Amino acid sequence: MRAVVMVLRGRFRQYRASWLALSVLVAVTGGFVLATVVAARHTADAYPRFVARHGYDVIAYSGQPLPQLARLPHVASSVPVPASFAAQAGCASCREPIDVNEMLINEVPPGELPRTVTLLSGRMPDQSDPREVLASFTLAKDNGVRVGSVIQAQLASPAQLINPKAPRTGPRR
Amino acid sequence: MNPALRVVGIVAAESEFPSGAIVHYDLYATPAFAAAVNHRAALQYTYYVRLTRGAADMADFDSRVRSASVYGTYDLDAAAGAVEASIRPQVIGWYVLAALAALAALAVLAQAMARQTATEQADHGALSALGVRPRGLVLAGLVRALLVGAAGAAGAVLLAVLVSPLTPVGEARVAVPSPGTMSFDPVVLPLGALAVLAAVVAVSAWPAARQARSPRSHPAPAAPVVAAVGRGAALAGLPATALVGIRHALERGRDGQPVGTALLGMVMAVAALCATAVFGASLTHLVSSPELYGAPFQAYFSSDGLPGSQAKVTGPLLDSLRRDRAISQITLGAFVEVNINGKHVRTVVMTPVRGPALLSAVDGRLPHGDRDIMLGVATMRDIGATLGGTVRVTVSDPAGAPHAASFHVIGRASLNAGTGGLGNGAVMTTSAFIGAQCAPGPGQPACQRTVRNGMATVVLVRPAPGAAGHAALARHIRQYPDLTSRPAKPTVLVNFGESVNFPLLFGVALSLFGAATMLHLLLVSLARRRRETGLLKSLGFVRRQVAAAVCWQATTVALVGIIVGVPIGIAVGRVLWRVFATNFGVVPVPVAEPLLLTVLVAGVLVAANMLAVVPALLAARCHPGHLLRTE
Repeated sequence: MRAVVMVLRGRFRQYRASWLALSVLVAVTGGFVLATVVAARHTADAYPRFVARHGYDVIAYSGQPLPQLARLPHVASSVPVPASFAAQAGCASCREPIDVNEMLINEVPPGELPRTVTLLSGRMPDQSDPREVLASFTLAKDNGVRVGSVIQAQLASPAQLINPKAPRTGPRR
Repeated sequence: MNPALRVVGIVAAESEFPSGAIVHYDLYATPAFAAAVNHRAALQYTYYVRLTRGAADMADFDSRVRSASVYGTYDLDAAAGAVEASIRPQVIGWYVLAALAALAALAVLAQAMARQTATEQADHGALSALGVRPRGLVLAGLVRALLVGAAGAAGAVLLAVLVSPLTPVGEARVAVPSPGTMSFDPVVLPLGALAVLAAVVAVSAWPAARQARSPRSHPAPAAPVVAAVGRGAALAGLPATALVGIRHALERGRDGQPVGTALLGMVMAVAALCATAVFGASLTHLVSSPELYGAPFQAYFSSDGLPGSQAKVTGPLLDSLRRDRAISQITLGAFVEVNINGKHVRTVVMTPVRGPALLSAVDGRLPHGDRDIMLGVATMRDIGATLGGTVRVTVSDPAGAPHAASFHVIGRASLNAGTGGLGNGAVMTTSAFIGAQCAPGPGQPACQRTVRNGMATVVLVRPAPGAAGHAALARHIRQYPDLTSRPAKPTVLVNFGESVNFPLLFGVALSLFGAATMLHLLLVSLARRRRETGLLKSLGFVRRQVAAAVCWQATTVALVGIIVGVPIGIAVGRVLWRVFATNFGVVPVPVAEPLLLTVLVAGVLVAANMLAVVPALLAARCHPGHLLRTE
């Protein structure tokens, strides 16, 4: 054993630069592999965890309040969210015009808001301020809406409302 | 009413993740906003519902709310399935990249450790004379590997933690609570560190044992194949530089150069590059071929929600399509909710009006009997069904009463949108669905009427090939623009290339792997054939010839990689694509682009010679006296 220690000490003195280079090579190649596996796991877990935190099973759309919905068999809970439509909407900082056909201004009860959405940036609105809103990440991604943007929304009145329609992949209006 | 709304935060909600062709945009206003505008604004009432048994209750819930004043539901569970399905290719891509990187790392580390061991072998004679036994030398080599591995594993964990804020990417990044923060994966990193350590020790063990037992290597006779290649090259009249280069590429030589591992590495690199090229070409072909991903139709007509529009779709529009002989295929379809083997499955019901049903079959046949059902690949897995087997289908009638029937699984379908993403969903004929829903008896005709009237029927069309067919379709689209839609590209596959360009990433990683292998071979060969190079110079080789011999050596290694690697790569790429495509519920059609493969082969040869430039210059500049001084 003493001979082995002697050999190692001698070799370390002679080849320590090579050993260090080999360690760096192991760290870089191994680190790349580990980082890739971690990325795979994070990617796989991301959405199921999001759904566990914020998920519902179904959204039902109606033109009138439906208090009886909560009493239907199999309904564990239901959160009513009145939503208004914009006939036109735009903002100075927007790259693209907002597609109002697919946009809703939702009025989620304040107590349910953290359960319904996750805050990606900025802060939650002051519930007593009628001008403060949260915007979906889709508006940020597709239209360039960001924290501080001011959206001018021309709301549709009941007289202006066209009949609600069910979009082809997911009913909205 | 024209309020100015100030955005104070950006949020993500479940319904906003793209699961189909349409993106949802939302603003979340305050109760103060509601108090100010609701009495004057047009309102829709949206209900976010949780069901007692989740997706299992969806079919019953849907049938009950249809009779209430609800004009639509959005199945978030199905949408979540579609979002997860769209993220899955990224996950697989990361794992494949990890496996590939691990293989490359093993090959590079094995060669580096072998070279280090060979270098340290220089003092074996002296150590043996001092009484150190071979076992002690092996132990010293392993302890060195352990030290290097431990330091490297610690560095690997540190590196993985440092780069963790960069992932996940794409839609998955929106779903994590705090993207961009460093994280330590308590499962992967400790196990990974141990694996790194074990791998370094393992790849060091064999060289250490070999070098300790045979302190001096002896020149091995040339293998018959190598000798034959040398004779062939000589008979072909190749110059002496070529003969020397070929021999250096294929023979181990007197000092035991790692020729076999280098050739194997090059074959693997070329094969993997070709496999990547086949995979990438097949992906491109898939995205540009709607009939492979569940959209063999060129347009579809559906209600836009306005009163009377559904009647227009199944009335005058359908009649005009039927009269038009330039429209070669017409199929009626609708989405319905059913339970299959106790699990909720969004299902397409179809009625072919002209020609075969516009449906993409991965395998099997299209349904036409009242007990036939096709399933998506993922759905088949989820419900435990098999091709040729039977499944229990449960549907609720308009009154909410469940009816069950056995269906025969006659194939696997590719369904693009509306059923929860590629690979999800089921297909049956409309008459099969209505037959299962409305039991025979006095109430059957009324039940069938109610079910038919409740369906949002969509008309799928495909024009006859040629200008006449396209003109006819364009005419119908001009007549009913509000009712027309075009099939959407599958976001699941487009995202695979957009969020992280995995084929490109694979290609870059593999190219680096191949380049590292080639460079390592040339440098090691140059260092360990110093005496041979010196001898050649003494015999009259000029600098240009020495450099040419190195380039011939690189070309030979590249040619071996090409000759063996290209067919293997094409075969592997085709198999990989078939597995990938079938797993995601699309029709598997592998494509090998001859032009792309030719460019790739040429690129390998050019890259090999470019990599040989520096070693060739180094070899050419050395002085024979310096090279031969140890002799």
